[in-house]
Amino acid sequence: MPDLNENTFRITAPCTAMEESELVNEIRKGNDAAMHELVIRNQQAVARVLKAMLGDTPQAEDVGQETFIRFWSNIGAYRHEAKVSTYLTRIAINLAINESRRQKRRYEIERPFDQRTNGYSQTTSHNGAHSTDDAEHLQAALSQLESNQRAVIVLRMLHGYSTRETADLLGIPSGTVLSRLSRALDKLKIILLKLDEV
Amino acid sequence: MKKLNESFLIRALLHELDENEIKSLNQPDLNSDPIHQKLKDWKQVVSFFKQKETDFSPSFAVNVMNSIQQIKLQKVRNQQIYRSLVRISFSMAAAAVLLLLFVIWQENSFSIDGFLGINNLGSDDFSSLLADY
Repeated sequence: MPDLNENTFRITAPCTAMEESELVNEIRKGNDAAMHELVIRNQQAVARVLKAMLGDTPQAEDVGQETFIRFWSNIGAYRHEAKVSTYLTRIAINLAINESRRQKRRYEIERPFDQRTNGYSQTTSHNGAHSTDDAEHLQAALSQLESNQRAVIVLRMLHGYSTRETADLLGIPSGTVLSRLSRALDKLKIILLKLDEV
Repeated sequence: MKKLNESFLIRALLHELDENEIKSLNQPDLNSDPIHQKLKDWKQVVSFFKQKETDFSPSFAVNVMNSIQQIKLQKVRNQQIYRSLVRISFSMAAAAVLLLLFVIWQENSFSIDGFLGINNLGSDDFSSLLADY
């Protein structure tokens, strides 16, 4: 039983040499050091997905935490059929799609009506895209895509999953992945050009 | 036709074309084609992604573990509250049973009035009890 006065994590015995399946088994037994090691090994992959989906924002980090907590609380459901990173990516992408829909709804409610009619320029300024930095440009451009298109771009182009794997992760046919990718890339190109002009 | 071209292009970008398709893509007379220009544009967009390296803050893993620790503690606290409630309800049930047995032993019978301790009161006594209030 954990000590009720102890509410911060301390590493007792590091699990750096363990294989992925061993780590998962150790987590099932309640080994916190194994969970810590799993987070360290996979956090960059999750960060790439979430920061591309949600931007370099505190929300991305919160959703990242939520991703690992969901994995930990549903560890019993993990059957070693896919790699842990794939499983985590699936959780992260679903949480990110939900979060970006929530953000969009919140933004639509909070934004005054006259700004809603002003479309593109208002959205870019909202996202702070006037900087000349390429990464910021790209992030601003990505944020203008539909969350479904963004998910395809992130998984297929950024994460390097195959078309088939991307389709499986998102639960859509491969043809839909290709068509969404095509539309998203066209839109991205236009947005990036406009941002360059700004 | 437009859809077919786009699918072809996107597969070219993703290196998913078969040998024949690669040959058709590399035909010199097609080099000025707008399709090739589009492919070039897309490759430019993709190169943006490849340059991007990201990670969470250095304390991310520890923050996750602290949140997990908090959830564990919350679970333990909830279990303790549940156990305390069970203990209290069992004690109350045991006390009620003892009282019941005591009443039966004293009265040699059982009635609700006896259980509540008002079986020996007359109706007048009962009214006078309430009269003070």
